[in-house]
Amino acid sequence: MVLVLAIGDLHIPHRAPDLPPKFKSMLVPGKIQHIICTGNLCIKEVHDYFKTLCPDLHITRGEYDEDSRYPENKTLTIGQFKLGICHGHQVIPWGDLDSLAMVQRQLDVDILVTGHTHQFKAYKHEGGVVINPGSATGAYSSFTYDVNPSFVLMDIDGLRVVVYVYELIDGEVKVDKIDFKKTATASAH
Amino acid sequence: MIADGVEDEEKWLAAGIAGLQQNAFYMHRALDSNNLRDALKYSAQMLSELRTSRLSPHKYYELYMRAFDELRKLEMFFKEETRRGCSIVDLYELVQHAGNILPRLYLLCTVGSVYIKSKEAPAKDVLKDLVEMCRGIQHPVRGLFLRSYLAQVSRDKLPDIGSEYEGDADTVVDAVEFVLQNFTEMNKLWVRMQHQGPAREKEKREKERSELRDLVGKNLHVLSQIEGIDLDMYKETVLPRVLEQVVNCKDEIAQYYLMDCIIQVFPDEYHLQTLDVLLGAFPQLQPTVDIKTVLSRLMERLSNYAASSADVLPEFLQVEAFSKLNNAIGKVIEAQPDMPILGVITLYSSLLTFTLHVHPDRLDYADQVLGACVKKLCGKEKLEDKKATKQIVALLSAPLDKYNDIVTALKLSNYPRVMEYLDSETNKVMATVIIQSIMKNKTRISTADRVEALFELIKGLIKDLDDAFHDEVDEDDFKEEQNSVARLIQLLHSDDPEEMFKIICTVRKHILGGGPKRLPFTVPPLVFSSLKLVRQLQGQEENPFGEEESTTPKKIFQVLNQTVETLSNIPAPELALQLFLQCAEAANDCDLEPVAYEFFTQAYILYEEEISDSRAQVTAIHLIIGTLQRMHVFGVENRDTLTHKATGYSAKLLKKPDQCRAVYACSHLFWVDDQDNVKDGERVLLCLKRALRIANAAQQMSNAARGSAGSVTLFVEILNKYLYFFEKGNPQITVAAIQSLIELITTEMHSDSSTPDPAADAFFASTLRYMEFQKQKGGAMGEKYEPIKV
Amino acid sequence: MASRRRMLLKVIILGDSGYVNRKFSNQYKATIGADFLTKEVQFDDRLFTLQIWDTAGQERFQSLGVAFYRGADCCVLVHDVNVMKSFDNLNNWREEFLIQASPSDPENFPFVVLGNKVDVDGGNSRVVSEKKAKAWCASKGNIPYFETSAKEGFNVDAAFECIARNALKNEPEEEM
Repeated sequence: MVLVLAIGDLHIPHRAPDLPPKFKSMLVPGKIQHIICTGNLCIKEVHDYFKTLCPDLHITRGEYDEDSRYPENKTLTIGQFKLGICHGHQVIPWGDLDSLAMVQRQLDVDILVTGHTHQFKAYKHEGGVVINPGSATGAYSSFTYDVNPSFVLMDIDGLRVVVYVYELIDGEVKVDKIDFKKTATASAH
Repeated sequence: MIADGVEDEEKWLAAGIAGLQQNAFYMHRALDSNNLRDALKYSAQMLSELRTSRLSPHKYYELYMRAFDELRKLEMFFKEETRRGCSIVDLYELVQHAGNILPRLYLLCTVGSVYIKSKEAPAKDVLKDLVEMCRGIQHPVRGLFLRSYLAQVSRDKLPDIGSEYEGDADTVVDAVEFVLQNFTEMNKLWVRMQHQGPAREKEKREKERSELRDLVGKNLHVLSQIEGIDLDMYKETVLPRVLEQVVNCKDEIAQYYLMDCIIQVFPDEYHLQTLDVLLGAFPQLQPTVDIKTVLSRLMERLSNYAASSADVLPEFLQVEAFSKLNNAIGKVIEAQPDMPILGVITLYSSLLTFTLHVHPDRLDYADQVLGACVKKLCGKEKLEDKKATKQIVALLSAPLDKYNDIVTALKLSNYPRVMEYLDSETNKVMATVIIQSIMKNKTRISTADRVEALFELIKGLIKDLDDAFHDEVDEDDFKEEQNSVARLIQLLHSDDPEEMFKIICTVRKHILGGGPKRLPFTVPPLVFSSLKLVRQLQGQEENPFGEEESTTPKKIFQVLNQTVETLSNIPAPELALQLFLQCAEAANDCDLEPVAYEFFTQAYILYEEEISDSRAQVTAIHLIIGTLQRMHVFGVENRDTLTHKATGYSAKLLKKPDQCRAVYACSHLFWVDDQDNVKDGERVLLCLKRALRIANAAQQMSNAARGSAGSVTLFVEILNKYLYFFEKGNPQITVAAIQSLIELITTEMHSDSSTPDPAADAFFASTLRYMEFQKQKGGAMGEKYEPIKV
Repeated sequence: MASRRRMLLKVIILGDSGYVNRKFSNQYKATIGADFLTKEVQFDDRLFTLQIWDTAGQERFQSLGVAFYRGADCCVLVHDVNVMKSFDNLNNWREEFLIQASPSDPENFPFVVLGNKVDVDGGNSRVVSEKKAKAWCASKGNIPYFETSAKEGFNVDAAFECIARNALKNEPEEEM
């Protein structure tokens, strides 16, 4: 069982002062093995905070990020899964599932984690899974009016990944989960 | 190297101990053989070692303790002797025959202890006799230790209430009298030391006095433990007598120490009920006594007492503690015009803490204290003293901690006035404290007036306070500061749009004075606050009868435009461009076409004139295209103008791959799913073809430069875009076009001059797989894909 | 034999806060200088007088130093089971005592450790476990350990009997 935190679009301090306290109390060091961050943190403090949660931190660049050295996209392997990260402001049209699928094919990954829209999404297509953890702070987005703070925790176990989405709705943390199973032959070359 | 004097002392002490031990040995032998005569002889000889003048108090104490331990055994022996028939009265008389007075008195006290225990005489009589006999020793060190011995052996034999030594004749009054007398005599001895000896040895004497102080102070502790002393007796007898001695001795060291002891050993209720008397003593003390420290400690104790339980608060009110303390402090400060500023602030700081604990609802009291502080500070330069500024931060933090709410602190009219006296460094420290308090308590600042007041307070962070040269600010510190201001801006909010707009304008006014270094931090949060307000107003219906003055999205956009503009000049053009585009989208949602167009124009100007870094250009282009693609408010003309420019920019990017990608991204500008009038298949194809040409050119360049073709990735990307529009039903995208693109890629990949690129291979493979998958889907999609050979 | 002298035993109590009951025991306590009480303890059919020295705890009220440690027959180390720091400081107190009192046989000098205030809050605010305290005691030469509540009088007598017994074992040298 490998826990991967997918989180992003916090926009601290431009659009939000801090992570919601209820999220902060849930995210404790030592529980998570990897952190995948879609970008738009935006400041070093947030980077450092994530580092305290888990030293294995992977970030891609959002357009407001203070550190411009983050890569535009990144791939990594966790267990049986190949994951790809890309903030998403580069993928036009924004939030378009087909265009994102193309990125997924290009990066050749089973799971693509992307952000920018601040809308939680987790859907499966023939090429794999696209996950958007939304905005962990519920930051303002021109894309959508309805932003609840959210983040995603993936439990990778063999060929199966369970995606838990945590959303803060009216002050309460609600959890939902989605199961994905990868067929062994899917990305055989 | 140990100083000579100390070395000598060590020698004398060793000699004293040796002599003491030797006589003790013989004394033990005498005790074992019940030989009273010898016991007295050797004990007296032993005690003679205490007649020395050569030892400092610390060393004398070592000798004294050894003697003390031996005397306990002697005392037990005396007790047994009395059981064996020896008369205690006789014994009491017998020991007075000892040759030298000091041993004589030690022995007398020891017998006295047994005498009291025997109850053959009233305790008070024996005690009285002993305390008077001790007058025989007027040498300060010896006298203090002797009387200390008396205090120790009599401690458990005082005729206190409930003690076995209480009788009809003996009462707690006698106990108190005894202790007070011993105390008084001891204090006199102690004070006398100050003036004995040459002036050049003053420091040494004061050090020795310091070592001895607890012998004197102990008596006060004894008093505090006497059960029979209740509040009344404390008030009527104990405190006045003690204070009398303290005042009359006119000795700075004694006064400071003893006032402190009084405050520490007696309970808080007693202090409250005798506040007048206690405070009344202060002006009578020597002018050099550090009264402020003692006063501060008193207030600290009382503050803690007040904080410990709400039940005690009425007591404070009943005795009017606040006004008494306030007056006392005022008098002290008046009496000492040269008191350093640190002292003044410490006093007021303690008083403020006290006030906050005892009278939490009396903001006027707190304000009064701050006002007194201001008065004392005014006329002085800005504070340079580090300790003093630290103390002021403590002073100003106290209301924040207490009220957990900057809003309440803002009601203290003197609060900002105190801050005026801080130098800019400390002002920043205080500003940070204030912001942290707000963040910690999630205080909502919800009116423009409060925002105004708040920003006045934290102006050290908002702008450069003095024109004078200031030290280099640490980069990281500066960032942290400004980020905290940015976070603060998020917390300024009112649900009422009119008020919120006022808040926005207030903040704007302040941050615009911050200078080029600060604006990139402070403008974005303000922009987003404003955009949130726009959204809020969108939800509300336009009121046709609304006042001219009322807030509208249009007004907000106006302000936004001017605000974001300030960033272009700093320069922070990329940030400005991003913000202009955000505003454009918001204007789009409000159906304000000219406003949206204006924002795009601004963005484009920035792109053309200010953004020259190629990476920055790529990002900017993506944002421009992405935003434009979502705009629905533009009429055909405007849209065309903007689109045309965007594609132009795309084609002129520095690197060919970037050009290619930007151009095919532009294809989406001509095809928007939910807007039927924006589905121009031809122009989509034109973009894609253009992208292809660029990709080709890139290949050729690569061939020329390196002798081998570059990667086919771009072609695969373009292929994917073909498929995208193919699926959307763009009639211009034909199966043939797709087919030939597939062949092109395949050929390129297998050509000799190609560089192997596994990533591109995998991409192509997964694209083909995708097409196959679509074929298998069946239905309309399957039909579409059917003719394509993969 | 020196039997008489062995009936008087000097005991020093050290620790972060005073042990012996005071008049205003629930309040902030300030003791000035060192103080002693006598307590009689009976066991083995004999009556012993313990001379128990309790220290101020506060440095600023101990201006003459700690010469009174000397000649102690036993040293009692007290900590508050609800305050971890007071347990952590036991080691410092023990070492300070051995330095200042300079007993002739420091390896075998009798100590006793008391874990006090076990009654507070029904035991719910306890942070120092019996196990932890006993482990420390074992590591320092098997120091006897007692849990007490001085306020409630719980286990105090048993503790002091042990203290007396251990003090007795400590034969002072006959110095010449």
